[in-house]
Amino acid sequence: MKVEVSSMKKFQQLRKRETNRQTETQREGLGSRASALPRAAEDAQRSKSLKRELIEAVSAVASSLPLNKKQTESDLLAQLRRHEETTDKQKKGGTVNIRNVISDMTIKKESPAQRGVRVSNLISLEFEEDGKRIKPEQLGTQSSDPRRSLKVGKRLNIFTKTSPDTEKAVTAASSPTIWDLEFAKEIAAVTEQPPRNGFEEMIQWTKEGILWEFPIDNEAGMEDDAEFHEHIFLEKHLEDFPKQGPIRHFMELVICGLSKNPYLTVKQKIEHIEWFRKYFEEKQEFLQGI
Amino acid sequence: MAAAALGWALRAARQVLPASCTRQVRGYYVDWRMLRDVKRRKLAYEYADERLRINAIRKNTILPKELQEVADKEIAALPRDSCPVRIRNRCVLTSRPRGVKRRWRLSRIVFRHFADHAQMSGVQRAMW
Repeated sequence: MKVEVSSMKKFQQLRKRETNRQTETQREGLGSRASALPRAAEDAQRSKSLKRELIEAVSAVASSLPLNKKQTESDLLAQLRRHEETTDKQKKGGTVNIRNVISDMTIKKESPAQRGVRVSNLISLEFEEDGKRIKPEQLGTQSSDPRRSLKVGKRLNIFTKTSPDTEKAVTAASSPTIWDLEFAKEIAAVTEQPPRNGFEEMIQWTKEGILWEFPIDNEAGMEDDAEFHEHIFLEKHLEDFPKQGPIRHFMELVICGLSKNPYLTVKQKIEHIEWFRKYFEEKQEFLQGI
Repeated sequence: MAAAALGWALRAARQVLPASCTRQVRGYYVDWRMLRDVKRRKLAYEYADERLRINAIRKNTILPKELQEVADKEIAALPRDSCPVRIRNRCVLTSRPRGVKRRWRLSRIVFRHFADHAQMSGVQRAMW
């Protein structure tokens, strides 16, 4: 076997091989996986063949150098092995290819508002009951990026979509039983704390209904969905009554009074008229006798 | 007969509370007269609409008089305690029928007692 002795040439050869290796690995990283597969076999052969040559070259270099031969040999061999490992890993696809990850990302530009938010998040003004400050626990959780949306990017397929039928079935089956209600009441009773200040007391009163809601709504509690014309034009309910006669006269007066009544709901007014209709129907035989 | 009356009295003496309330179930009114007044108020509330409508037929110059006479008999047939005239505004605390101020629903004696102990908001001894 021909072994070149001159050290300069050996070094140059080593460097060339390393650069070749690096370019190969770069190409593998950049290029598509499909082309890498047929290359992988070739590279394996090449690496094995190189190994022998490299070992020989390493031994020649070590002998040519004035330093400790065995140590230099072992160091160089270790370096070469590391290179081979990285290439194998990249061929298999084990290492994280940063190029792929970075290519989709864009550089984030922090607007002054966001910067202010970030700085203010570092300084928290909240105090616990002892008087100690609550530290900002996680700075990253509160960062809100309006430009990044949730629906952009590849699907991770971690969660399976629940069909709406199963959801409906679940909600329909668990109609709150008495025990559930009691349990919920118990929890509420146990967890409620006495109000810490006047504001919380007022909030509690508002929830109970003791205190009105401000600004005062004049129609609070009034659920009159009917329009004004349903209150005023009540003649359509008079269809069952006789067209002529004192009863009609009487009912028209009743309707006039009802149309001016702001306190009754439309339902109540209709009930009123219905009662009169029933009454006069019952008395019809009597009335015909008159 | 006596047992039924006793049962009815016990039931009547019980205060009507909403289901969510967890106060004691049996309560007491100050006296029986107060209880009867409470019954009258309840009945008056129940029959208020009917009484209004029958009276509208009665107090009429348009409808025939025979109809109005029939309406008279009908309203007389309603329970006696359903008419609002029988309600007496008694004192809420002592059931006193006379000397009751409407705004506070208290008799004059109770009112004076609370006002002197400064338990009536905005009430002061007059001096001018």
